[in-house]
Amino acid sequence: MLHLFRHEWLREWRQGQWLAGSLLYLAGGIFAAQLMLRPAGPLAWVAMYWLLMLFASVYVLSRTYLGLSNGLLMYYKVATPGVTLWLIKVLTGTLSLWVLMALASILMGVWMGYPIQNTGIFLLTQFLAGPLLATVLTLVSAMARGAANPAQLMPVLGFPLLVPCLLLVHRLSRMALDGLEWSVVWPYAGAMAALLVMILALGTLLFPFLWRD
Amino acid sequence: MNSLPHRISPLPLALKLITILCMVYVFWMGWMGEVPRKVILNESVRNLYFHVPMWFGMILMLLGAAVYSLRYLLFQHNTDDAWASALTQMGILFGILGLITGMVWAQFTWGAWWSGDPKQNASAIGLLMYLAYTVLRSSFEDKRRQARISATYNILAFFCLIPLLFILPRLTDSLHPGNGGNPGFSAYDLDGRMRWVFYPAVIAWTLMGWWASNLWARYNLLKNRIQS
Repeated sequence: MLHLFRHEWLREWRQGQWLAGSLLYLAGGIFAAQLMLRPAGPLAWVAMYWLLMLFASVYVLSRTYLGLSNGLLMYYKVATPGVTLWLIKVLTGTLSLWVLMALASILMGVWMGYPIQNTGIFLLTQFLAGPLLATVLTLVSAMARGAANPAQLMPVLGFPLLVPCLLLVHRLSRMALDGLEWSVVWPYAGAMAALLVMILALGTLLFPFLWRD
Repeated sequence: MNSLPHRISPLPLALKLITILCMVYVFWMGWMGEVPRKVILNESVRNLYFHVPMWFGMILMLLGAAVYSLRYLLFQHNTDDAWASALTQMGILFGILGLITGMVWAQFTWGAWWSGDPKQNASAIGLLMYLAYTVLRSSFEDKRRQARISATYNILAFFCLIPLLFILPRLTDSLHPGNGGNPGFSAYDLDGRMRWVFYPAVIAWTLMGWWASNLWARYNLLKNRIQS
């Protein structure tokens, strides 16, 4: 499994597009936001951050399956059990999203100021949101793969499913903004972790059905 | 593989009669019967017989849809897929009606059509999830693939819906009874009179939804058989 993981990463690096493409997408979005929102109130900052992350993650993860050629698909089907492939995709997706979130924080900090008072809470939020977004969007990407218009289908399917996550993320971000203490944070962080575990388990059970053809 | 002549049997006559009788009773008592007078609510508390059963019905039908989706994934009977699709459509319809009855109720009691109440928001998002299901279904040509992928999405959507509707609103402030520090329904029904209409209302609306889904599923199966 480790071998396959390295293979996946090397392939992504060599293509090089995913990093540059997603970075440009994010940077463009943040730049457009700062043109309109400067000076940004704290609520607007948080809202723009997560909305742009949502769109960027859909963009990045839509290429998880849609970009695969038929030959590669065949290789994957033969060489790996479905669950292993699923976990690798989720892991790669999570790492990509974490990188994107870090870059987004930096860019937004530079262009729109940094109103977050408790960065620790914000980091925890990003840490939990990464796998959540990755899991749901990887599943949705697998569903949209065989459809008539996959790129259009992904946001349509993905956004409603991600709103529970977004609600919790928003709440945690508001706490980070206001610099609240950690005792208030744990129920919501726990809810996010529980949601993550549930969707990961569900995905592991459902993915083999999606992967058959 | 799906040429097995599976059929869906119609709803038993007894259930149909129960539905009709309960529905007539609920409508009669709902409009003509006595209701306890409460501050702010006044006569609008009658909406209890319509708004709340809509949601009960929606949840039960979407639960049914998720179960039939799981059955399809396990056994690949096209009847299960027809049931899942029909139940989801009826669930969406009940959800829309629930949202509309809720908005009308909110306008007269909370002062605005849309208050940004967590449960209101959560139900709107739930509807979006299942409307996306409809979009998903329409984007596949191959029937088997359509059934398989939409069954997977249905299960995923249901498991996202439950925390959204029941857990998240409890974590925040809410205007709804039973959440955010408001008293639950028993406080509105001092002498237990409303219960006598409320429970038949839940039964009536849920059975009506299942009856309609049954008809819809059978219609779709026949249509597919004729077209292929």
